[in-house]
Amino acid sequence: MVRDVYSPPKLAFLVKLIEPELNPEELAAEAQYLLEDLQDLSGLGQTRFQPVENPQGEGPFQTRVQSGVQFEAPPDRLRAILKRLCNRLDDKPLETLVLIQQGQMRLQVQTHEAAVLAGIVEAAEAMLDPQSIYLAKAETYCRTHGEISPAEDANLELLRQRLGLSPQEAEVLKSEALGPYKTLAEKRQRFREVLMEELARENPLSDETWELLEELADNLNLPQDEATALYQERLHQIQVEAEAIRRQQEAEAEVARQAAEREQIQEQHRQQQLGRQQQLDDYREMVRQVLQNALYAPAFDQGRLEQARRLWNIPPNEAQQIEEAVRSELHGSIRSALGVDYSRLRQLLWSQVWQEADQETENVLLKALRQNMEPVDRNALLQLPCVDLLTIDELWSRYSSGRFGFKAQQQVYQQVDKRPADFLRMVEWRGSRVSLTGGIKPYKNLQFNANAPLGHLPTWRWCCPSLESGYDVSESIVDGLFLHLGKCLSMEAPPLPPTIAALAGE
Amino acid sequence: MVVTTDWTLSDLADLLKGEEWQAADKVTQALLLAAVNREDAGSLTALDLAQLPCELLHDVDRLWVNASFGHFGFSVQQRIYTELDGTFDPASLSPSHPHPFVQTVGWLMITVPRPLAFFKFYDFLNFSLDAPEGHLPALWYWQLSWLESLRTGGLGTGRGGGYADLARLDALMLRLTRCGQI
Repeated sequence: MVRDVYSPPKLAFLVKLIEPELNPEELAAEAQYLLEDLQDLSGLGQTRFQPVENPQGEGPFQTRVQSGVQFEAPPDRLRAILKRLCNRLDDKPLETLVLIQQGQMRLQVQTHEAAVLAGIVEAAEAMLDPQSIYLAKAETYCRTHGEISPAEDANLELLRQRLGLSPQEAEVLKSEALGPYKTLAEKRQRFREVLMEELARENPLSDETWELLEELADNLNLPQDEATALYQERLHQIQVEAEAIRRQQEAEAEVARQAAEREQIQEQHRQQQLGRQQQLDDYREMVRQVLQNALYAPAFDQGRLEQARRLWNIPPNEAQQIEEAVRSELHGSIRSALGVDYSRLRQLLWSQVWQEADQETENVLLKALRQNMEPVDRNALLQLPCVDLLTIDELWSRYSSGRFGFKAQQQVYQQVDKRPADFLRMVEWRGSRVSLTGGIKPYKNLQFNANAPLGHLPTWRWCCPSLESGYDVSESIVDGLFLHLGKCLSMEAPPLPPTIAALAGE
Repeated sequence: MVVTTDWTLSDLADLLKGEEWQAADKVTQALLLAAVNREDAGSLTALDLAQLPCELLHDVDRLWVNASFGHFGFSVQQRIYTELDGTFDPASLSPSHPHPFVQTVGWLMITVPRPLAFFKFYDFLNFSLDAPEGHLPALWYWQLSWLESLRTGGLGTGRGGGYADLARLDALMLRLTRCGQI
């Protein structure tokens, strides 16, 4: 569809300074300012300005001095041009001649007062054909707000009627004024699009680019401040985004820095722990050497250990734990589920003082099982925790090379097919049946030495009410103890042979 | 003798302060019997003695030792018993050849020469501070059931006239040792 675009005739302008007070140089300068002022107006990019020159002086000395400017402009720029000239007069009231020509019509005014110049606007517009006036009005509206508001539209409608234009003609002119982007939103959108493209190319925009964009805004009839606002908004948004990205990068850097710091601290800690562990291991090894042939450190070695403790800063309780662990490892564990202290028993057995060890065995058992130290009966015996039963057994066994202890006694018991009476005779706790006392011996007549029969020790004096009249162990106790021991041994996982244990450890 | 369970440690303390040694011995026996619920049996077996509460033994002993200036009391008897350890062959002991302790504390009818070692009748014990050290308390050892009395050679009159009984003696001494280990 071919649009019926109305292109109005151009207006010719002549502006000339005729202020008599000015000397030629001043006149030339003012004329130059005038030219620049007008060139500065938007919508006059295509306009060719021609200087107007006045002859100055007489005869051969005559020179030509610039005193004004001459140009053609579209009719819609009429008001803008006149307004700019008015502003100049407001600023500096120089006597000025303004001549406007449209076809055969010509309007001329000479004044130094802005008000007078402003007064010719209506007259000048009257020179124009109705279309030009309508278009100029519509363009003015567009320029101020970027679109035609309803009030402005109503004004234009009145103008159309006054000028006697047909509604169709008016519509075409309005479209012309509005340009391809009808509404402010569309114009903004278009401007924003171009702005974004430009920003994608360079950021921030160079002055040249911005001038081009200003021209675009002008061509779009997008008001200048709108364009600036869009640019500022966009610029702000970009700054916000850039700020956000910068912050995020900073945060990430901070996180990374903290992680590195933590890692470093952990590494230091690991190193310290490794160092600490090494010290503790060294101390443990020292204790091991000291305790190799002694249950407790001799005075001389105690001094050495004390020095090491001070050197490596090992607190007494930790040192004690290490020492006890090493002692248990080297000389037998004294674990107890009841908090009974078996260290004296271990010491006595280590020293091979069998009778005292036997007495201590009674002591620990009564303490473990009886609040009031009364003799242990079968029921009480069955309450003895396996840990304690096995601890006592292992201590006796360890220091007698397996000759003494509950397991040695169990071995005897099994040899006699679990007959309690035969067991008592086998371990020589009872003598010959035919003796006067029925074979019962006084406790003192038992054998407290390493050559005693297998399973002879420890005695079970802890179940006896008296000892000297006769060490008499009842058959129900014999049965009870081996029942309990069997249960404890079956519950305890059989230890793996060393080779298999080593393989499992790998 | 009537045994009641109404006796208390303070009764015993009063009697001992008044140097009523024989009455104190009877109250002591009553307290021991009550502690192991043997009031009916009227005598303490070795097993009973082995189960006497340590605290009671300790309290009774303290009262006896204090009132007699260290002359009487279980701990005095225990000391004497322990001191005699190793002075004789334990295998040689028999009812007729008693533990030297009983002679030391003056419990035997010394007029009768060994090997027929008979015990004094209870009423003929020496209830005064002139008695040998460890002479009292004695009823814990003297009081036997009629049958036991006969079995130990007595006349149904407790320990009196009968033989020694190492089991009872050793049971109390062992008990005292065990109580001392708490």
